[in-house]
Formats: sequence, structure tokens, C-alpha cells
Amino acid sequence: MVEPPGGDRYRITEQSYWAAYNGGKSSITLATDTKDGKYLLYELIRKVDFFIVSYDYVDSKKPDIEYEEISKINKNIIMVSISGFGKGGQCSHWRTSDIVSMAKGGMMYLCGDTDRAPVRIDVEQAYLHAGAEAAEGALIAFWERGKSGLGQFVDVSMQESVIWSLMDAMQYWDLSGHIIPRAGQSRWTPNTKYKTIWECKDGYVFLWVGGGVMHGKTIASLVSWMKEENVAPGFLTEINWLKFDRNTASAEQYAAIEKPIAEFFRLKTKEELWQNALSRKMILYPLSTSIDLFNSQHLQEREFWEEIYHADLHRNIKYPGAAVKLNKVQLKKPAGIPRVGEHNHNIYINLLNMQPDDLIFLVKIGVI
Amino acid sequence: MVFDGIKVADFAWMGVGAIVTRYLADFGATVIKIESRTHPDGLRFSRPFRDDKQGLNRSGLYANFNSNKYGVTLNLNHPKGIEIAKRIINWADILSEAFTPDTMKRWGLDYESVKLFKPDIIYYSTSQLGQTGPEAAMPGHGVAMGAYSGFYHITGWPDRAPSYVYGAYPDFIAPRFILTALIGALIYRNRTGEGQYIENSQLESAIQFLSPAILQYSISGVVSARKGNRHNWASPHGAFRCSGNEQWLALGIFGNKDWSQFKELLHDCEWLKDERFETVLGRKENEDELEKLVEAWTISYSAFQLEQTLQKAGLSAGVVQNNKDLFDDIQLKDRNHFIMMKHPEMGLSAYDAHGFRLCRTPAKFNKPAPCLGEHNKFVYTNILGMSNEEFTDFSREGVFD
Repeated sequence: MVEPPGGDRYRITEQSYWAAYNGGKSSITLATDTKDGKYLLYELIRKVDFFIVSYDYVDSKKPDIEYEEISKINKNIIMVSISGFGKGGQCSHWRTSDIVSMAKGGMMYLCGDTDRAPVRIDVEQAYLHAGAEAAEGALIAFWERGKSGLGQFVDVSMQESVIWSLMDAMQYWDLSGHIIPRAGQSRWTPNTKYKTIWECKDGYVFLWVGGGVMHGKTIASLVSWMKEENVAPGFLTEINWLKFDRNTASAEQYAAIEKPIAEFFRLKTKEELWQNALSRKMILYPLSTSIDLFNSQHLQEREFWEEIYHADLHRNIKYPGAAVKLNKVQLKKPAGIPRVGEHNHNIYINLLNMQPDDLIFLVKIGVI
Repeated sequence: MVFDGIKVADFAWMGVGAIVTRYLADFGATVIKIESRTHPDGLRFSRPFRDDKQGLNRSGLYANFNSNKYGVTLNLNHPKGIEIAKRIINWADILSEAFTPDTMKRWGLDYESVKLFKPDIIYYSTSQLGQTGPEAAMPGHGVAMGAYSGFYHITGWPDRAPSYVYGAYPDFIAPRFILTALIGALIYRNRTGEGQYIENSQLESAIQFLSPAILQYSISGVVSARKGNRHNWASPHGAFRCSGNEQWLALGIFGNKDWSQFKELLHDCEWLKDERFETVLGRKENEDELEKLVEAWTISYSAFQLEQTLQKAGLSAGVVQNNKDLFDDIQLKDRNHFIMMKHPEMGLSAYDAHGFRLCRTPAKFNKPAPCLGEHNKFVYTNILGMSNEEFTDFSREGVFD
């Protein structure tokens, strides 16, 4: 990755975020807004497969490099540009940030309590949706290059990347003219809303009261458990949960059903509810915190967590492992979080054949 | 097109697996989506339906994840159904499945069995908790994973219960990781002739989008907590009520340069002269009051008007759009985000374009989602090479039920 001399400021202001997504990369420093810096950047572009640019949302600086320019010096280059609203269109120059992309992408409107402002997810998501879409686009272009021998420009819109996370929201308007409201701890349907998040003794759990093979079995098991503890009202035990239809149940029915379940959950800890969910095979899940995930026996047995060295902190940290496992190819474990410019020597001298004295000079004048 | 010649036997149902193969289909792969009449893809029962009228071929959710695919029905509980499944797999380069662990094994179609007759198959399994581990067999879905992976805990207000994050949020993270692995496997196969097994846990994919919270705990022992819409070092930062019903403006003022620009726009407001708001620290320390003052200003204006004004001034602001607003959004219209395709039962309906565009070899949208079993005859005779008599006999025997 190419950082400005002194390092990417987000190493400091967004320490965890920065560490999360820069493990295993090589770091070089370069003042790309200088003539010498731009020259060196072009030299680097000659040698690489991908050139990825994004857009600093704080000072709204956009990289001053166009694909048409760099494709002349490297016809194989795949340039990936990530911006708030994509190239072209009346708003392509608009400034964004996570909250604006989550708002313009439609996700924010759908989340939060009905009597307060809509909310975004606290860990910034829009950049990640865009980054993930960019990775896909880059690799699809790479595969295509294998056939054609040519690179191309991959244009990524944060707004459009967020829209993909909305599940059925667009279709609700397109097919049946419903505007979906946010519903706090509940899930909205055109007929009613039903509770999704339930308070327990020391936290919260997820449960849907529903019917059919999936949720009907869960509720039947839950009611059975409540009956074992003599807290199941008669009407709950009389409902045929496999046939219960949440699409036709009324708000009054839901209120009546949810009351005893809520009371039952408030007497139980998250762990107790989870252990019963596991043994009774119920779709009843704890709302996890970071501690819960670190302590997850399931993730530990799957060897999900890695330990990597953080150069700035001078120690190992626990790090999420890969999202996929392959049987023939071993995914490279991240080597660590690099220091600022840690790989200047390796890249400038070994890859770009720079003379050591030139490197020293360029560092002195602030180009590197 | 990019994936011309790539063939996919798509056993995946519901969201994650189907989204992956949709990417492949949109870029030219031939994808045969395999369902059964007795057990159609569960998404066919999911709302919303065209005109709120339920039907196996009327689900918008199913449609959006299955464009450009051929749809067939096949009875995998019929012994001849398994033989035909194997024929499809033999034809394919990629096999996708998203059942609970061991389901494919019961049919003899798990990776270990398939690789015996098709060693170069690229086979991916996606499930919510992975194929192994003490919780692998747990029932669930993407909405439950949103809770279990940690998204709900960090969404909402510090003084209230967490908020539900709309939809099956992790279901839209996992496909990106699977697709990148699939392309890697295709490249590997080109080099070596060897297939690959790819296993995805939707929980583990979801955690990738929560890594900052994980690392905050790993580095400093701090457990992330809900903070509404606040930002660690930007203020004001949030959604502010505007005039009209449920009209909100998302706004982020990052640093003093933004603040100067913001002040210039609001020049009539006396409270802007308050020295407490002149620094980032001051704005953060007095955030409660500042937010009330900002909202006292925004409430007099339309969100769309403010968005234009603030963007013109170079500030980061945008309307908090609802699902209808997205269809009216001028940028989305200019970029043709919503692709309209005519479906036999649903009529003209919208499909999402991708978040990325390849400028020289773009995706193409030629076919709406298939009706149940729509392409049985074409796929079994034209693609798999069955004779008409064979096809008719199998149909009569219930092999395509």
C-alpha cells in the first residue's frame, strides 16, 4: 500500500479499523502529489497488476490519475476506483462518508427505534461493502485479462454496494408499493411487526415467533421448555406452531404470545438460553459481543483466530482468520501489521531498481 | 463475456449461494439452478410478492438473486434423479450448495463423493456456521447470524436495547468472499488441472465486517458499545430531522475545515459564534447541545434541499433514503442501477446492478429469474443431450418432480 510520507493518518485516528484491513500488506511511503512522486507511482504502475484508488472522505482529495493515462504505460493494468457514487451521473462528484453512503444506500432508514433518528451500524460498513465489491470486480477483470491480455477500469460505487445489503427492500416498493419503516427491536411486515430482539437477564437474544418447519419447530421447543418449568400459559401450548402463519397473525396475537416469552427470557442468562438453544436445536441466538466471539468454542475448534504481530504495538494481537477455507490452496496468513514505509527499501530498490543514495535523497526531500 | 464457457451446477438455495452464482451468470457463465417441485427454493415463499399475491414465481427476493440462470426441477430422492444430478455435475466446472451440513452427503453428492467421478470440480459449500465445529448443525438463517455475529449489539442507542439490522445482513457479506475464492480456484485449475473444495462459514464472513470492533477488544480490551450515530472524532455527525414526515439528513462534519464551511452556510445562526464549538474537542464535549442546535436548523428545511446545498458547499451530507426514494434517486437512475426485466409472471420488475462495473466487459442482464422448472426441456435435452424420449420417460417417472 502506498501511504503519504509519515503514514496514513487513519493509523492513528482509526487504529482498530486500520489494523483490521491492512494486515499482511507491504507499506511504502510516497508523496503522490509531487512531480517526483507521481513519476515513481507511474514506475510502480508499470510493474503491478492492480492499481486501486479510493477517496479520502475527510479532506475530499481525489487521486489525480485517470485510467486512460496509465493504460498507455501498462495495457495490462486493472485500475479499480472506489468512490461514493461511482463515475458518471449527476452526483459522481458528491462527497460521501460512511453515514452518508449508508443513508443514500437505503440501509440507514431501515434501522433504529421508531421514536428516534434512524441509525447506522457503529462499525463503518459502507467502505467494506465497497471494498468487497471492488475485490470481486478486480478479480473478475483479472480472470478476463487471462483470456484477452488486456486490463480494464473497474468502477465501484459505495452507494450501489450498500444497496446490495437491503435484501428485499427494493422489491417491496417495486412489486407491492410498500415503504418499509424501521421497527426498533422488531421486524416489519405489511400486516404486523414481530419481536426480533429480546432482553434476557444479562444481555439480549434473537428469536422470531413464527411457524412452519423452521420457526414453528423452534417455538414448539421453546414452549415445551417453558412447560417443563411450569411457566407456559395454556394458549401457547395449544397453538399448532407448524401451521402458525406470521404473515396473517395480528398485532394482538403477537402481543399475547410475546408477553410470556419475554417474561421467561428475562429470568434467564444469555448463556443459559444459548445452551438450551444448542441442545434443543432452536433458532434462538445470543446477540454476541467481541468477548463472546473470542470465547466461542465453535470458532476456536474451527481454528478461526490467528495471532499476528502488530509492528506499531510491538506485540501479537488476536486477529480474525480467513472467511473461506480451501482444500488445495493454503491462504497466506497475514505476516503482520506493517510499520510506516517498512518496505520502502524492498520495493524501491529491489523492484524499481532505485539506487540506495537516491532513496535516501528522496526521503530527505519528503517525496518518500 | 468474462465467464463464457464456465458451467455451474447450482444446488444452492436461499440467499448466499444463489447470489454467488448470480454474479457468475451475470458475467456469462451458464448456470443451471436445480430445485424440486416438492421442495422448491425456500426463497420462492418469501415476500414481497408481485401485487402482494403469493405464488411460486412471484417472489421478488427469489427473482433478484437468480437472474440470468436456467431453472430446472429434479427429484433427488428418486434414484434416477441422483444419476441425472451426476450428469449435470459432470457437465459443470463449478458446483454450488448451501444446505445444512451433510445434506449433500445423504444424496452421495458431497465433495468427497463427487471428486471421485469429477476430480476437477470446483465445489463450494456455504452454511451459516461452517461444515465443522460443535455448532455446525444448528438451524438458522442470515437474520439470526446478524445477531450471533455481533451486528445488533453495536447498532442503536446507548440508553436502549440494540436495534435490529434490517434483513439477513450477513447474507450479503459472505458471497463476496466466496466469489473471490471461486475465481482463485478457477485460476488454480487453469494452472494445475485440479479442482478445489471451498468451505464458507457465513458467521466467519460476517466477522470480517466487524473486525475493527474485534481488534478494538484485542488491542485495548475495550468492548464496542452502541453510540447511536456518533463518530469518534467528527461532530456534528448523525441523522437530523428535516421538515415533513420521516425526512432525515445524514451529516458528517469532519474537522475544522468542514466546520468553517458549515458555519458559512448557516451564517444567520447566533449559536455558531459560541467559542465552545470552534474546535473538534469542543464540539465533541458539547455534542448533546450541538446536535439539538443543528436539528433546530435542519427542521425548517426539506432533506433533499439541504442535501443539495451542503453538497454544493463540499460537505458530506445525504438524505436518509427509504426504499421508494432509491427508485427516484437521480444518481442511481443515471447509472442504470435498477435493471428492468420482463418476467413471465411478475411482469416488468427491477433487478439490482452490481456495486462495481467493468468498463470493457460489463455484466449483461438477458434473462429474468426462472419460473420453477421453466427450462427443464431445454436443459435436459439441449444442454445435457437427452433424447426427447428419454426426457419424456423421466418426466413420466417423476424424476423431474
